[in-house]
Amino acid sequence: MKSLLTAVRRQPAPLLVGLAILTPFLLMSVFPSFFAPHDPLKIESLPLLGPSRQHLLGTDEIGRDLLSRSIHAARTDIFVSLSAAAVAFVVGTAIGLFSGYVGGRTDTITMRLVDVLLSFPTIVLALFLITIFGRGQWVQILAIGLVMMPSTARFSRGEGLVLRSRGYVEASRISGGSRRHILVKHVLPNSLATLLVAASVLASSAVLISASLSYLGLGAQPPDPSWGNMLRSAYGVVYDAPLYGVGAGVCISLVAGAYILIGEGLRRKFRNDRNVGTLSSSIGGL
Amino acid sequence: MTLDLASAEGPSLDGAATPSRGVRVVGALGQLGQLIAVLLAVSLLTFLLLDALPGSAVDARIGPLPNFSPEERAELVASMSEQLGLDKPLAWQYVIWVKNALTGDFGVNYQGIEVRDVVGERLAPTLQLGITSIVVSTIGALIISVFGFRTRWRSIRASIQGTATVLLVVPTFWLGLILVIVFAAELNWLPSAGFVSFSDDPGENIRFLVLPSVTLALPQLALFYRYLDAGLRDTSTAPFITASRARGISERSVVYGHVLPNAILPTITVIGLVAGSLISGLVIVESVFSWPGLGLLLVGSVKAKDYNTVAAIVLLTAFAYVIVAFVIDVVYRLIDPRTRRRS
Repeated sequence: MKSLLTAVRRQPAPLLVGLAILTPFLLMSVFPSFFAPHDPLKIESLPLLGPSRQHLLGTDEIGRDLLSRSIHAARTDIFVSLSAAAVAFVVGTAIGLFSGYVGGRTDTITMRLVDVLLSFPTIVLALFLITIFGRGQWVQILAIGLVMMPSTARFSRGEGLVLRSRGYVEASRISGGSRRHILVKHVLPNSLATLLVAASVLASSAVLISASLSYLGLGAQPPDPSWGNMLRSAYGVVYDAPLYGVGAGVCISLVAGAYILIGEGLRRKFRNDRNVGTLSSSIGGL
Repeated sequence: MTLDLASAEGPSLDGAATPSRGVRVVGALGQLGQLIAVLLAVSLLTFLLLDALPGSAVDARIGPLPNFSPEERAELVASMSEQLGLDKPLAWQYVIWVKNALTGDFGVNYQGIEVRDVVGERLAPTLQLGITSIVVSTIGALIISVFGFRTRWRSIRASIQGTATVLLVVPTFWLGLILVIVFAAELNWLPSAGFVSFSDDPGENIRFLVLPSVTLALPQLALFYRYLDAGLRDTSTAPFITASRARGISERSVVYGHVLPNAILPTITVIGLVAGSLISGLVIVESVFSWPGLGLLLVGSVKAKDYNTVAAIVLLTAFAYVIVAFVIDVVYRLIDPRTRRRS
């Protein structure tokens, strides 16, 4: 127990802070009813009340509890953003590392294809896909994942490109290591630190993109709450209830920020651990 | 803003991937050829996605057309089907579509107005807002990062870094809401939303421009700052900087003559990429402030399922991005000889 505490204390501060912020949100997204004091869809009081003891964040334009709505929104927002980030990360790094390491014509062609996807500005491509394939949650996840995938591929391709000329990779190649062996045993582990940092940036972007889509009215549909559409409603009542959007805005920023902090923490951790043990052991030690 | 840290991987090392030892000109032509190939592929993808529309493409694309009688509409569908070559193979349809797009002909929108005209009148407001924000954020980031780098007060630098990080995770539409609450609702200094064209009233135009451009610029500034700051710190520990200091060169010329130029390099890519994909931020900011630009038009068209307009904007913004990225790549090769090195 004591050694666990010391192990935790030895982690970089941003990582701990990030996890401390993110964990409650993850719990809220899994058990929203446990945390929410009221029913998010039920009209409880007068509309547009300010914060009070009964309604800590006030009520919305038809008298639903804003705190409960913010908590229930975590379910949609966190599920959508994490799934989208996972799609982008897995597909993107697989393509990128391979392409960068292999190089040559394969790399040129792959990167041109990635460039084609990358040429569509993120939100524009997501909006285009939603226009064509409809507004379902899975379309949203795949659309966000797809628009973030090319940048992940480009980024990890850079890693592959850098690592292929490293001494230990060349040594492995000279001693007859197969391409697959080098990619799995040398390139992937050694780029993992950087890639995990990129993954946390991805998760953060995914939160912001999915909130943007629902802000534009193209994400979760009413009456289901989402942080984005709550902020949209907040604009309509900016003169009557200026504090309306605080809950949703703070939630988005905290979650997006938590991922960034975790990324920063991981970056520091890996930088410190570079000389101590292998990378896989330090990830295992998380 | 949605940040694309991952897309800004710094110097593009494409030169390493094309090992041809041939003449430079061939390389340059190859680059241009690749550019054109990417542009064609972008248009092909847009076309194929449009083609994936369920139902009759023309029917879906022209929408309900409330001002048209059923006969007029049927006539339009028939003439458009012929014009788009829908009885011909897909590849031929694509050729027709590209040919029309190149001449700026994207058909009519759901109200029967030429898409070209609808898009055209949105360009000036969008460019005004976008360019203002890029200029503000670039200059701001340069000043703040050099200040933060040179200051002796660690706490000042730490608080700048903290603010920058916070700005990157605050969604643009919330940042905009906060600015509206403070400067429009409470202080009543600036209008909360709307637009007056510069030719009508320059003063009013700028009053309306302030909040949207600041909302758009702040996250960009934070992003540029982070790159500049990281660049400054990385460069300052490089051997050639230590060497400069050891030779007794003044701190001032070390910073402005050696550290800054090298630190700016990767940031140029980031600024370029952000400028190229400004529309992503504009979509949100224009919606927040009812700024009648391309972003607002895009959101409205997506909701109205106005496929022709959406396709035109998608193609236009993607082309803008490709061309901006190409120019950055060329500029980068010119200013940083290291990227010209072949492996």
